[in-house]
Amino acid sequence: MTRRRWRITLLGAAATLAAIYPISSLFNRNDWLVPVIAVISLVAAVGLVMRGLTRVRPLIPLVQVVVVGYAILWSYAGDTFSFLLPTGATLEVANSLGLQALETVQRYTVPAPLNDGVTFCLVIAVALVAICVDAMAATWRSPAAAGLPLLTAYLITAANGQSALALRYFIVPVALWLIMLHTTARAQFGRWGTMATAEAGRAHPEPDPGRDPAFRTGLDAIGLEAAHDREALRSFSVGAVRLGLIALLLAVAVPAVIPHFPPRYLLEGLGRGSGGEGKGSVGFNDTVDLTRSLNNNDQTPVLTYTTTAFTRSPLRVLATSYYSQGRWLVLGEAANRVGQPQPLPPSSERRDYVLDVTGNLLAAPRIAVPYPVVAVSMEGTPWSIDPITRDVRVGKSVANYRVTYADVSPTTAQLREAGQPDSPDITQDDLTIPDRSRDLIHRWSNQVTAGANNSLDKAIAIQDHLRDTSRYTYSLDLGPTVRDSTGRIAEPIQAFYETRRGYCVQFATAMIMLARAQGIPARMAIGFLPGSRSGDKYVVRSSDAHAWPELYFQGSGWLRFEPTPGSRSGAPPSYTIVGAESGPTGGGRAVTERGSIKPPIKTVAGPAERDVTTTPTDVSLLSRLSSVVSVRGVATTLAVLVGLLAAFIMPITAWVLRERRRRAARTRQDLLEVEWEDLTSHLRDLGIVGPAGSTLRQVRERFISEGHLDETTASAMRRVTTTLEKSRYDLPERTSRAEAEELQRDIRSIRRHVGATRTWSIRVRSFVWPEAGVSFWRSLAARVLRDR
Amino acid sequence: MSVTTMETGLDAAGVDGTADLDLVHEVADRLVTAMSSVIEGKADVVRTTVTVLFAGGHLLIEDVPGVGKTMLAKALARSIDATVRRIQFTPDLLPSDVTGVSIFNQDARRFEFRPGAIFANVVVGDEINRASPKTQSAMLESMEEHQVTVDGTTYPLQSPFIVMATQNPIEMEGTYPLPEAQRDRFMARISMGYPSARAELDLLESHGARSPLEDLVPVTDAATINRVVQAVTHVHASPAVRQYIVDLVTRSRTTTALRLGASPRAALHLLRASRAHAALEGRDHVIPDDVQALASAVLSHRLMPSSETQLARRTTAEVVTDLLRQVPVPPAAR
Repeated sequence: MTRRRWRITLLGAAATLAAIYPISSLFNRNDWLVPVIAVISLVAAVGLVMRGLTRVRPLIPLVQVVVVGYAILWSYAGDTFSFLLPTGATLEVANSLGLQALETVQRYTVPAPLNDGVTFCLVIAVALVAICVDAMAATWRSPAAAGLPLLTAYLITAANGQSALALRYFIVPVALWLIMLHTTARAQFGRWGTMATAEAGRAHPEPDPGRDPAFRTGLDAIGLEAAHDREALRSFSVGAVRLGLIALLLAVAVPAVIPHFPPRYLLEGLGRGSGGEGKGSVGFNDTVDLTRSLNNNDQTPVLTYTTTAFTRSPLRVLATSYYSQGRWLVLGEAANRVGQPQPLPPSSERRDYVLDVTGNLLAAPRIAVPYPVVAVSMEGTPWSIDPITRDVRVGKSVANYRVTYADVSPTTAQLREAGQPDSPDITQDDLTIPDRSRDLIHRWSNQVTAGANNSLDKAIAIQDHLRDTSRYTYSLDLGPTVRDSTGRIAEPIQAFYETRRGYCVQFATAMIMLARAQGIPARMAIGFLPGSRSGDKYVVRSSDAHAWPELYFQGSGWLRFEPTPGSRSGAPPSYTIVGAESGPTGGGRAVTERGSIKPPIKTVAGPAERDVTTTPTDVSLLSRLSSVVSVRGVATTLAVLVGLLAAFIMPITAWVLRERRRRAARTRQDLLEVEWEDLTSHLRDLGIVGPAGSTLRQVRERFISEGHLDETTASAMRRVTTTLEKSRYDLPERTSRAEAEELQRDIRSIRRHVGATRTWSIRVRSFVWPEAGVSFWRSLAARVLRDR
Repeated sequence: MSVTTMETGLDAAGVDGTADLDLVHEVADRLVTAMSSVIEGKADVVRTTVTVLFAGGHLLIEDVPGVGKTMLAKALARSIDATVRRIQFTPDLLPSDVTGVSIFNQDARRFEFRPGAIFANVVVGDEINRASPKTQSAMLESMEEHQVTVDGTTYPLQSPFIVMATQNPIEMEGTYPLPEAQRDRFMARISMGYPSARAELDLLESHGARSPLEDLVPVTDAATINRVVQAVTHVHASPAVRQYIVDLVTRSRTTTALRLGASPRAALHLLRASRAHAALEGRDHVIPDDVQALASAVLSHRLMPSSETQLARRTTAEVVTDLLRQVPVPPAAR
């Protein structure tokens, strides 16, 4: 390899490009790739030239920074240059470009529109990554370190993307990085054998190989050693493959143990949650997947509130009408809708309540509010309301806010008389049924609503049908994947129809689709159950996450239904119960269950009942609905645990080994040997080394003199060696239990006394880095490397 | 000492065993005290002598003339109430002088056996390397077998039977160095070494008037020594210690520092001597320290240094010290 290091430079550039390529999924256009490729090429070219010119390594990245910086400024703000040099105006342009990028990033969700500011910032970021990679991989020849900037570049996308990145985005940069590692390692390894030639060629004005006899001899010797070198190289490779296999195994095994983090986990609460209370925040995934089982029962509080209402409504976070392939999604355009919502019914037909939220941890832009919102007040935080769904969005996370909301519970009579739905609040999505299940849904819906002749009765029939626990089972576990007759994985609604088991998401989705089939506009609302009382406040926890359907009734707007059976998901709203007297004033009263629905809890089947009662609610859509504070908590705890484990791996190893030997000890003699070995090992850690292969008396004398033992400890040491001598060399049955116990006592006192005479640092080292543990790992490593 | 039934048919009672050990200790004390009054400033030599006596072995005392070799032998002989014979080896000494001879009795008209000098409990062989090899071997054979065969008749020797031979270093003139095979018969070889200046001064003073040997009275008798020797054989040698001895002699055979290593007999002698050493210390079991204490005395006269060792002017005793350093003491670290 030449000093310029062509191969590694090109590999580094390719790896950089591969690592930043996934960023294209964050923006709606791919124009940024062209300047980015240009910049990466420029960095590589400058690196190649500079490595040919100079040996001073720090100079190379410095020149790269200057040249690339100049090039970027010139291309974006070239008209402000005077005499080919940037001026103050250039900086102003750069600044405004940066601000533009900042605004774009803050305003738009992924995929964001691409503009000059964003491209400018992207190019700068990529240039920095490229320079880092080039410097580490080629200039300093440690491509292993170059993995870090590459990973950073990759994580930009991974952390900001909407969903998990495809595997190929990871495979390609990693493969390139591994090739870099391989190339460098091979080149360096190759130099061991041919050091003479390589060094001579590099460091000195080269001797002519043909004429210099000494050089020739050297070459011959190298030729003779070539076979040996090849052998060494082979063993080197085998060792590397072995380590690689271990890494691969770990990579497969560890994720099986650690819970799966949602893709946006890394930046949640760091960038976006800065307005919170510094405790991190609850991210809320906008997507609901019907095919996933739930296994999360996270009790982390999301928010605390007080309310003026007698009964409490669920707190809605968002609503969506768009269903696709088993998932409820909030589309990009839906997230950026602006405008004013339709006016609420006049205040005579509704009753307003106030809800004060404290300690909100939900990540921006989401907050949880009851539906429908009349007014929101939060100090100094900009917020907006979605004109159609009335979702409230905030600019940054907000800890405390006050919401005024309306209770618009119409009477059943009103609802029965509601006309054909016709409102700007209704979109085409609100009536869309997935093609794959269309026939099934229509058949199912007609069957359920047979006999009902208005929208309300149909809706109530659907709700009662779904709440019937003799038909449907509430379960967080969806059971095995259902396949249709052609062997494809069944559409989730169809799967629910087949298995008749699910949790709130399945029940809500079923109700929505069944209602849509009857021409009732319906959409999915996601949020939290009212939570549990704690003193005079209510606490909403992550496990309170819930999903329910909203159906549109002309004149009354979107109304909540509750098709999910179970005690905590609560009784259905009053207007959905046949014969209930209802109205705005009645909305505050607890609803007694009667009429059309059976008391759910008593008839719930065995396993479902357990779920309902022990995991209090329709527990959380968590893993689907939201990614949660606790995910970070779990990760931190795990990291701390792993860190602690790693820090104390040696003492733990030593302890495990000792316990294993102790258990393996069959006789009292063995046990005494273990104790003695433990003592000598501990004394060795404290710097008192007994002569190897000596008699006990010699060891004892060494300990006493080297350890400067006082008289008490010395006599304890003598007792120990005498007992041990007896145990080793006298008839086995002569060593009494009392003697063994005394030996243990003496050993403890010796450890204590000797430890007290050592310096603090030696004691810490002897604890953290005990020879017994270290030698185990050392021998293990040696064995692994040697065996082949 | 509670003796394992495996090792003895004599007694198995703990009380008797302890009594035996006490007896060993007591006899050793008395002997050492008595001998030390004659051999001044040589406590370790005296102790080794007593150890070899208790182990039932023979002792080779090697040193330059005049340092008290004979005095040591005589002191031991006198301390025991037993038959003592002394043989002054000279080049013209005949084998029959040692073993005895059959003489024709005219009156009885038959041959009669006249026992030689070796028929005694303690035989002091002075300057054994001055005798002809023929005579040397005649004595050395009887040492091993504890019996003498003359004209086809076998005569058992007395018990206890200890030969204490002195010899001058082989470089001295007019000597026939003992062959290796014969040196092997001695359990231990000790060197007297010159006395310290202080001890020498005392010696001049006390030996001025008359020999202190004359004041020496027996402190024990042959029967007691027999019991002591018997008791010593019951000292417990654990497998670990036996393994250590085997390791040591094995290493002596493989080390490049030696041309000839230790024989199996050497291992046997080392174990017996170690047992005696343990008993002298009042212990009823052998520990590796016992082995180490006697290894040099028991092994070094049997070993033949390799030419490298000779060139380096190192003695076999030094080689044995090296061996002790190299061979790990069992149980070795697991």
